[in-house]
Amino acid sequence: MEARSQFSQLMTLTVGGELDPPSSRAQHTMLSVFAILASLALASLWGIAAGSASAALSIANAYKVPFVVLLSALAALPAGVVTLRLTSAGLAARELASAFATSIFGGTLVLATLAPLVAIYYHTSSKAGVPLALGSVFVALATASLLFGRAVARRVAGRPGRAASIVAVGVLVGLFLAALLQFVALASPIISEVTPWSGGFDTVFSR
Amino acid sequence: MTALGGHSAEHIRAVWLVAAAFGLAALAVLVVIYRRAASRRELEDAERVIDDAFRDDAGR
Repeated sequence: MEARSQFSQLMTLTVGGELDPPSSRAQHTMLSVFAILASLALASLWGIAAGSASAALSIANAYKVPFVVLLSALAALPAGVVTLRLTSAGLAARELASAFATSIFGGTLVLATLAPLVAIYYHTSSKAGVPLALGSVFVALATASLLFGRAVARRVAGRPGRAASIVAVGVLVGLFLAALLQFVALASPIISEVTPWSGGFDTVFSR
Repeated sequence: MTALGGHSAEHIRAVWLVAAAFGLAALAVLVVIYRRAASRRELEDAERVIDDAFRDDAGR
């Protein structure tokens, strides 16, 4: 399967469509892995834009931002799977991981789409550059969370244990955000200015 | 000089290196999973072609 075809199939899955003809289990696995790898490339684009204040930061961000996304996802996924098992949810762990992968792809796609805007404002505005960079991350997180919730809700529609599946989504999103907060702090600096997020949990919740 | 959580900058750098090593390992695992799924899919495609050919022959 060529990358272009995989990308269009991935977009179909991300927007909540069904593949025609329906994909086999092997094809679904390939698409999920492709979603993660594409997400890393898209996150890298945003990292380069957000660090464009200096060449060194930009180059460092090209690998730091994808790693932050990947490591946060890896830290959160086991808890989501355990929640599925403990609550006897009507969703297979493979389906949860697949929906998680496509939603991360959706979120990083938003990040990459906003990357040129982040870069241009970074260099031309002293007021809007950093807020726009941070804002683009929140927009991407909101998009990914909504896509994840919608993907899981569609898969469990009509099955028993629907509420338990949504609980697993909540746990997974919550832990992803918690891990993201600390991995961002660990990888700092990602943008050239110090923000509350640069210090992780301790500075965000300092009061 | 202290960094995250009151630890030294060297400690934080070491934590990042360990985390990055886990990330690299995860990437390697993802590549292996992808390659195995790709070869399984090729096998499924081949089986489908054989099944179709067998059905055609049986229909004649």
